[in-house]
Amino acid sequence: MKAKKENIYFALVLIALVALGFVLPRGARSLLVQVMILSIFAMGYDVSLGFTNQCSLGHSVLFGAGAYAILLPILHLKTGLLVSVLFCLGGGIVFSLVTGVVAVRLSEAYFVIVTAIFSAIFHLLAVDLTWLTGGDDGLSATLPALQLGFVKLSLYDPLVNYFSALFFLVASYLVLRRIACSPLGKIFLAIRENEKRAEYLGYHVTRYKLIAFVISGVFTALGGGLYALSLRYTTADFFSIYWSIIPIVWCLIGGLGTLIGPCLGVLLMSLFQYYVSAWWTYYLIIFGVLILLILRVSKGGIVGYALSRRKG
Amino acid sequence: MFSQTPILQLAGVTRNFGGLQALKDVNLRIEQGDLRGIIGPNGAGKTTLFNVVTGEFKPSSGKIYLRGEDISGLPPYRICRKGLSRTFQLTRIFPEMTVYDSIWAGANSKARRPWNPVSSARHLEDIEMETLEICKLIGLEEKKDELAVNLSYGDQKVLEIAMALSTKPSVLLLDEPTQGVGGKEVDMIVEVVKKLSERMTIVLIEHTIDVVMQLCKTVTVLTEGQVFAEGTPQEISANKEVQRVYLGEEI
Repeated sequence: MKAKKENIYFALVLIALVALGFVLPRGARSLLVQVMILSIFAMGYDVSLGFTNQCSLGHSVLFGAGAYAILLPILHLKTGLLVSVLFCLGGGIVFSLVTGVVAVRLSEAYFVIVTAIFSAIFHLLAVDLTWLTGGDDGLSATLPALQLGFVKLSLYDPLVNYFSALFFLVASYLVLRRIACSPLGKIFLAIRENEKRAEYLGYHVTRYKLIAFVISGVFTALGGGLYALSLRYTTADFFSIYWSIIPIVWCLIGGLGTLIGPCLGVLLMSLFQYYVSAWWTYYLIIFGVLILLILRVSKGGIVGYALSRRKG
Repeated sequence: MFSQTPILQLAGVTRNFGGLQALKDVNLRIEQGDLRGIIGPNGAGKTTLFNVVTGEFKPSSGKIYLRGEDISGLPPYRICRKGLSRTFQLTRIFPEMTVYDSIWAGANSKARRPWNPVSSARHLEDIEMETLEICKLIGLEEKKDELAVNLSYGDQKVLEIAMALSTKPSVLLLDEPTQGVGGKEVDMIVEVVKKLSERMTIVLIEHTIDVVMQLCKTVTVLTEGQVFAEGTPQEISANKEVQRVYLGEEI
């Protein structure tokens, strides 16, 4: 029953997004492209924070790694888009494994601190290694066209850009939803609820936390990569701690432990950044108050509020 | 009977915390099918004993054998997989999960691929059957869709036993299952433990002497980290020394 209802909502949103792709004006459409791409990042982040209660401040490393892993092969190896997306996913796996193996062993506060240190280290490296990263100036790339059978698609075409972002968003959502409903997803929840109890039920908790961290890292890197593709540009700034903190905000206002919540968080925040920042520079103050209000009303964010309303 | 090797054996187990010796050269033999009560004053090392046996702490010296196999120093999840499961003194449950899902999590840990990321958790029939069976056995069938946090404290204690049970242990360690529980619920928990003792070996830490006398087949008295006396409930309550150190005011 519940799953059926979810499918209907999903179909409605999908139809709406497809329709919006055709009718929206240019500016709003490119805003929506950003929202969709960052939503992938947000959902990925939630696998770490919302599913297994690992509050990582190191996801900027994975976001930045994804951005560079997608553009560097295009620049230096002249790879096609599909191959560079594979590089991006691979980069996500490698970087989240390397940082995760160290970090997931640590509990709570230590985990947060160590991941924050990773973020700082990699940001400094990215700023300094200008021969590789372009430093603060960043790197721009000209994107090759995508050859699919007889059709040649160019990301410079706004419609292609829009629908490729939509494709990755839907694919990510479906994959993550599948994982959330699988035995693995249930284990993640058990670990979130009580790590020790999960360990005493026979689960190797550290290993499952690492699995969650890597899944999270892959989607974060994909988000970073697509973000860089849509800008055709990447900079050392993508490694800055900003990109570690912003996903926490998205997840909190949207609803931890859900997949839709983080997407709503991205949408809300992006709309704010786009429309409110136009008339007031200090829009973040309003946004901060809004976050507090939302969390005051419902600990579970927007989605948590909607769910509790339906039940009550 | 093939009980040449006891199902659980501790040989000279010692555990130090800094200068404090929480367990001193503890020797225990627990035979298959026993329902062993562990009693002793506060700070006697009862919970430490459980923590050392289940892998929370490594023994500083000595060995622990499960069915003759050395398990001393293994991490908790591996000891659990070998068939030794426990509950905690301060209840540890999954607050925001339903009764069904909590038990399911334990049943799944013994599955062939518990980490399966693809198939739907709702469609694994053998695990579902097991989960429902445990719900029924333990008397939580009607509450299986309630969130654990919404259960009464007594029911949470029962749920914790059910979760420990879901990993199909051959030895079950219960750390004060009736602590903080009132009247009727104590009887309910006693009934559950009685029912389970027909299927597996149980070791029970308990403060309520009535419960120990009523349930246990054998009793071990622990004081200051050492085994002080061992015997049937009758022998223990007749033992003058035990009365002096522990039971004194209560009997």
